[in-house]
Amino acid sequence: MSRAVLAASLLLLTPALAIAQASDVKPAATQQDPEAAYKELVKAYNKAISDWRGEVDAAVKKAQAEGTEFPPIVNNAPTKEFVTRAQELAAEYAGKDEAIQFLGFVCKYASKEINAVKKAVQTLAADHATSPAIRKVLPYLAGPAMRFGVVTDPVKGLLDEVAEKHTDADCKAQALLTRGTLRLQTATNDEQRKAAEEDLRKVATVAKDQDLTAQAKDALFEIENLQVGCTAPDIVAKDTDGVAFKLSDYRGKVVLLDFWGFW
Amino acid sequence: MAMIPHERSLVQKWKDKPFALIGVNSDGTDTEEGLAKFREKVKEASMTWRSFRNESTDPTISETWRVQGWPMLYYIDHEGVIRHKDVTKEDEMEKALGEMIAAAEKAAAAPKTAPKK
Repeated sequence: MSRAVLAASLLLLTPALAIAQASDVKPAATQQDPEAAYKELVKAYNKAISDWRGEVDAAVKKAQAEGTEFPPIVNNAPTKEFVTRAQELAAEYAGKDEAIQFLGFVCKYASKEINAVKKAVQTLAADHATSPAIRKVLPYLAGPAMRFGVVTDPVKGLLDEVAEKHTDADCKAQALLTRGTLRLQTATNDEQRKAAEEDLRKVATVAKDQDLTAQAKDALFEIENLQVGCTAPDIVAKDTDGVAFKLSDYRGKVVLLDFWGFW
Repeated sequence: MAMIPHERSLVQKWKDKPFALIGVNSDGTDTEEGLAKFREKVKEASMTWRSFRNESTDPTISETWRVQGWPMLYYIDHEGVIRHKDVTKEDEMEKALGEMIAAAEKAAAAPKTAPKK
């Protein structure tokens, strides 16, 4: 190929390349593109939280050095404006699948906005319980149910509905997994633990997605091996000097196994 | 980290008893830097007990043991049975461990019978 032809073909290629690249770039958030709006929202939220964490760290260090109480910023994560924005976007797509991710955002990221969470869960239950797109946000529901007592019943209602009536196998399985995990975390007696176990066992019989089965298996391991009264699973590992040892080397002794971190 | 002074006192108090404190540090002992930081902390805090390297297994020890918040404590008796979880108040820790140690000593002193299944 001569230089001239090569140069010409490069010239021809260049605009096409430029167009291809331009279409790879995510379009700015507009009302027409819910996916981009969602990504934008999460990005802005992450940035605000990361800035806030930095301020909290500085404030805590200062308070510790001066021996004063922690300032209010420590308990005030800047979640409100993002929750409000997510609510607005959810309202914009009301009744459509596109609204689900924004309602999920509210459940996942709200810190003190209890009423917003309650409303989001109710909307998910009323408008979206039969949509296959509900699966993605179901894992976000266990957290709010633990954090905000008032949404426990609506969350349970939604999980029951999806677990029992949904036509998609993996939506059903995800609801069972989330409900089982939630039941396990809140169980105070054997009967409740049994209900949790039943949910988690059922996941494997329902799920098509093996990832859900694997997650359920992990949770079941906790029930079968890590409860008070269970024989502790052995640990065969190395110590921090690289010397191999086993937890069972200590049979005959009482062991306090302490998972700790530097704080 | 906040529990270490109390834990140090427990290790000292029961040094001649059938008791062991075993740590699992979950702050990146998978790298040399992480390990160096860990050894520094151990020295600073005069920790005399042994710690598992969390990342020396796959899945990590804390993943297998489903640790979701730190600190997390498991109380394992002389037969390897989990007796308590999440007891973190100093007086309750001492009471729980004291009872377990007494049981371990009693079992060691008792004439050998068929091992319990």
